[in-house]
Amino acid sequence: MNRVMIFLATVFAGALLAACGGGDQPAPSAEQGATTETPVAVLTPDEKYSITGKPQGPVRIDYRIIGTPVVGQPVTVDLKVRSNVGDTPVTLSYGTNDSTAMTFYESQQRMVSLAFVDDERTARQQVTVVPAREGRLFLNVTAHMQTDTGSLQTVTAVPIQVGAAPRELQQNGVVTTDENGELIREMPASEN
Amino acid sequence: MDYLHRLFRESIRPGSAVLPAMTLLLAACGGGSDGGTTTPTPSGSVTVSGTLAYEFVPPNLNCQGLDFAATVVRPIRGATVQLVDLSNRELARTVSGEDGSYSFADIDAGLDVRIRVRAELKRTGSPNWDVEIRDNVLADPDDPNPPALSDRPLYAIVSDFNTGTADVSLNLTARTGWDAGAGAYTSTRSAAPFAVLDSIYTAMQLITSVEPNATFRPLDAFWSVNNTLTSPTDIDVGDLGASFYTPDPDRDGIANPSLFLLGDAAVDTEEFDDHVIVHEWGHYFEDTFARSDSTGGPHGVGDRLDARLAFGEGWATAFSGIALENPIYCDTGPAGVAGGFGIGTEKGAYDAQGWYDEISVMRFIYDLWDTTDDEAEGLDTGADTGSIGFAPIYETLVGPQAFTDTFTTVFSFASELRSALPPADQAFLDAQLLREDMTPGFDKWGVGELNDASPDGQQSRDVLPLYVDMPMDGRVVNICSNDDYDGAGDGNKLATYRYLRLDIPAASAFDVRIITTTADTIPGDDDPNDPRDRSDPDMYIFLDGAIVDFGTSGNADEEIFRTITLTGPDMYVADLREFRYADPDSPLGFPDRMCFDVSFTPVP
Repeated sequence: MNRVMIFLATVFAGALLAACGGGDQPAPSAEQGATTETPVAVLTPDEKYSITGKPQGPVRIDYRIIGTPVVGQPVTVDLKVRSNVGDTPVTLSYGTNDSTAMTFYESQQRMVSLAFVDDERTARQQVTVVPAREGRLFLNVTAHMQTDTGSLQTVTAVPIQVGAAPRELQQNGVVTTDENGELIREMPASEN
Repeated sequence: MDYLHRLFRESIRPGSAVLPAMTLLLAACGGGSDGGTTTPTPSGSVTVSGTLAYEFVPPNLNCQGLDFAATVVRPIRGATVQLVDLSNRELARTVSGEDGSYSFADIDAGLDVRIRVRAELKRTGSPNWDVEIRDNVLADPDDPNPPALSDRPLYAIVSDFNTGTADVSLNLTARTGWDAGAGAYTSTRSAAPFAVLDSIYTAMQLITSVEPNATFRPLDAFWSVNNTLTSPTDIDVGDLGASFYTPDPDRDGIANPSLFLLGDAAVDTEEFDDHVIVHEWGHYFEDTFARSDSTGGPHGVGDRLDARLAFGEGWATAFSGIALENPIYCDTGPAGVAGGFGIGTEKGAYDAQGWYDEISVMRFIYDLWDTTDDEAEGLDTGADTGSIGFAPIYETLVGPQAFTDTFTTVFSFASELRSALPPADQAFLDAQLLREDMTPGFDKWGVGELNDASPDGQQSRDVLPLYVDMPMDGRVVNICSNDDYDGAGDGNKLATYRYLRLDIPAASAFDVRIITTTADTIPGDDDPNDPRDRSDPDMYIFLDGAIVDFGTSGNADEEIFRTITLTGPDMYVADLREFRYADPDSPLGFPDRMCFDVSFTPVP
């Protein structure tokens, strides 16, 4: 059984796994066992010291997708919500980028209020959606809370891979090359 | 000397007339033109000139999304401007001025040409810099030979025209692409890369105000409309665990300092969250100008963090407030949605105050710099009544903090900074520490600190002393770590790592033995012999911030290795952790505290 397996796909899991090197088995140092008088600084053996991200808000959402998403079949997402703002209630709301690509299961609430009572300040929810096509689809989970200093809101995009089709990428400008062959993404400018 | 020091310090206090040097430097780069006139040119050549600008969208009150109705136009400063012909041949090149102006003289009349404004800052000489804003997302994710990150497309705005027979005045603006009627981005988001570029420019200005000859290491900032907040991280397709800084995105051991910034309009965009951009640039600064021993990894408001992580994050957020001269760190959410959160560097505290809290470190540094009297402004009580300016902070970071034999924490920073200040400023610094629940008078090793993060007066485990003095003669010391503050299994919170101080009397290699002493057989474990279900102690040994050796074998219940020859007399440090606390495959029921017998025995 796995303590974190329950929420394998944390928002930061990718960064963390990369940061930890995953297998805890870094390549041995070429200097190991040598007898040089001055130690030579080896490269960081894994990447645990390499990624420094922006601060998260006081609400954090981890998630896990249950099963294999299939077109037309309900798929459930487990959510684990952690708060660092005492017992202040958090409202979760759910949305999608493209309502033609994924819909909510008919009984699925679109908004839910969470209370935090345990020492770990965590709450759990499940969301069920129905993919309408293959591809990399996103369920957007918004956490909202009201504090003394105003309202706080964070959004997490839960990727749901349906079949093998890749995520549809957007274009912003046109890629061309400059006089030296360097790739340039050219965008329009307005004259004024 | 003292006089010069004071004069220098005064010159960069907030609110003083700073940074004229940057303007002069840019003017010298060829920027600046009268613009706006059209004059017949009998010689067959014309002048092309004008101004360059981008649209910037400020946040709503309390950082609740972006206020598109309040969009302002700002100059594109310091960017490369090219004039090319239709065969893509460069005819002329210049750098835009502080006011966004540019000018090309003696251009042939009657030519079809293109102006290309590159989202880059290039300067040679002193100071010098090399910043490029690129798109990290591959056009074809299945490309077997994708371009290196540093060769991914560079953003630029372009405009085509004919030079005609008279001087040309051409003013260009990079638009947001926002459609107020639709409440969405409906056209190319041309302004975004230039907003990122300008935030970085602002950050560099603060540094050149105290270090006029600064050499900035090349930096790539990657932004894309496809960069979304998700996991696992896959840079090639725009999947980012967060906006972040990394010195080595290619993971090839070759430094290539890079920022990665979110741009997915449906989830989170950073281009107008200038504090977020400058925060990440603050990590770049700490890494390339000073030194960062931060563990990295997830962290958030209210977390109790490893001291190295707390310092790095607190510094970066404070730096963003200082560079932008705005105490409200805003991180807005999806475009068009009233969502986001703010961190007030002046006001508001969460329940984790202390040296392990990034917010406490942030307020400590910011309040050292700012001139606002917090009590007079009703922001806080007491402590923040003065300012030491930015220069001492900078000098400490690039000086003693960069070369400290400790880890880089608020203890090393504050104690070194304090020793460089006159008595009045020392008292001011102490007052800031006290307000943030830190203990004035601590040394760089944290000796003297009394805040052990104990909740409700209970005894906290494995927090203080911050460093364990390790005998280097083979004697055994039992050291424990725990995950009391790490409910998510991030492996970077307070007490997860234990620090060791290794005072090496004479050059020697050492046999290091770390033996787990806590029982780790888990009731109901389906495979007690699986080493993945057992304790896995790890250790890294550092000299002045560089890893010189490590033991991370993955063996169950022990880590045994022989070091290289460690120089002596010299001071090394090490960190010790239970890897299972950061292991996503850690078994359910794994003990929340692990202890180890640790020894360093000289090799004869």
